[in-house]
Amino acid sequence: MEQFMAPLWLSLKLAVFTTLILALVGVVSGYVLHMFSFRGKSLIRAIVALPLVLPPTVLGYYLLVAMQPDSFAGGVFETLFGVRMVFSFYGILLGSIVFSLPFMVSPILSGLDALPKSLREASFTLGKTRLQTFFKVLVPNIKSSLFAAFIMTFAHTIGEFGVVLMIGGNIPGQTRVASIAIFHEMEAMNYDVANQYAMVLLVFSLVIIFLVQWLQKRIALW
Amino acid sequence: MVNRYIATRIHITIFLMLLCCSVMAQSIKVAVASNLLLPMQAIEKKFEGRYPYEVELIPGASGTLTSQIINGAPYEIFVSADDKYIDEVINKDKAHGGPQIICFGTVYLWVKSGIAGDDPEIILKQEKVKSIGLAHPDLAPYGKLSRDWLEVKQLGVLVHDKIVYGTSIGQVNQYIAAGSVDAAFTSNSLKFSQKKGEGKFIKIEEIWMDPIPQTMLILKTDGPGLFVATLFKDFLLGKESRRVFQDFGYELPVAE
Repeated sequence: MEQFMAPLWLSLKLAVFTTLILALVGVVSGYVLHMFSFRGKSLIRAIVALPLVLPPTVLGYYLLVAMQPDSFAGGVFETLFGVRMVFSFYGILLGSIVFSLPFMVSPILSGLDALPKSLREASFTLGKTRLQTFFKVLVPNIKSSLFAAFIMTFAHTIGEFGVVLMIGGNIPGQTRVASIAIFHEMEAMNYDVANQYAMVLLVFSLVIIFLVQWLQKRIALW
Repeated sequence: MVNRYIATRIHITIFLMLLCCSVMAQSIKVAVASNLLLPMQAIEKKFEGRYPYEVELIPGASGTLTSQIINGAPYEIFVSADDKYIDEVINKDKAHGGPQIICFGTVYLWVKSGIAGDDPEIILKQEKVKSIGLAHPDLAPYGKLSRDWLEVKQLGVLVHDKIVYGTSIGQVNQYIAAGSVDAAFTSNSLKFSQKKGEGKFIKIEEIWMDPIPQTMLILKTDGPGLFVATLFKDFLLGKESRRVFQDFGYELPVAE
């Protein structure tokens, strides 16, 4: 049982860390991209959205090449923090953060863009700073977008496969998350175990979808 | 309130300690060519029964595992289905010590029940055989030898459109188990396993075909795994393991 649960816990751990880190990244980039106008803003928006269309193998390939111990970035990480990025939890965490970035940032940005301009202008007229306007006026008005962003990021990370396999391989306790465990048990011809993992992920995904729908209905009423 | 707080703290501490212990238990990671997974699982059990160490088997196509090792995967031992990939690992300075052949494998053609015949050539030419599983020749030594055989028999063009590639023997075995192909080139280990399912197995044997040398290599790692790796290596060459390989239809190298 403990052996069966390990990949599920690992998936959970990966998703929690990814969501927490991306929540920070999402709110900060929402602030910068929404409250300021500067050159190259549309390029940044494009880059943020890029992982949506990018095949996971492309991302996995570049991360693997960039992060291997003999490379510059990989070497820096290993000497500074003593951690190896490839084939470790840190590597798949980095991969997940990049891969799930649009799932966090895009809903936040579209939520902000959909708000009436008058809200911001009224706040400025009343002498509030950018920071105050953003956190006290705008963010409370995009709660449903925020929750959707958190949940979708979390769910998307649980469902990740290609990036994890490429940068993380299939190492128990480090990178063998639930989606990889299915692949592994198939390879080991343990079809019944693969079936159980698949069932858990299927039910989980369904629950997440329901949760998102329910939350969006509820939060709209707040 | 305070008591509950302390209790929670204690629980967390115990949990963390357990977490540390589970990490501390010496274990090694063995990258193993898919065709060897079934016998290696049996050997792993025997090894763990004898020694207080854990072995984690990570299966894959030899080519895939080689690429992972070159890119920094933290495996202590690599068991490849071929010596070509072993050479690549040695050339990249990832090896600790030299390679060692543990056994030799053979290619088998699996044929779905209901398809008649004993001659692999005649079977594959049949109309009934619509799809043929093959491990990708670029990644898996069994796949490469099977394709060579098809070429020599001048079947390559005929079956070209029928071939379904798997990334490893493990994936080809999945096709077999699911019955999604009519025939497939697989390894001896499936034929001699309890998981082989239905259908028949025909040995692919030719004078020019050398048995496939299953080769083992200890890898350079930063961790303290070298001791356990050496222990496991000796165990793999020992009597008990040799018997397991034999049971799965592998030929053994002549003892020195």
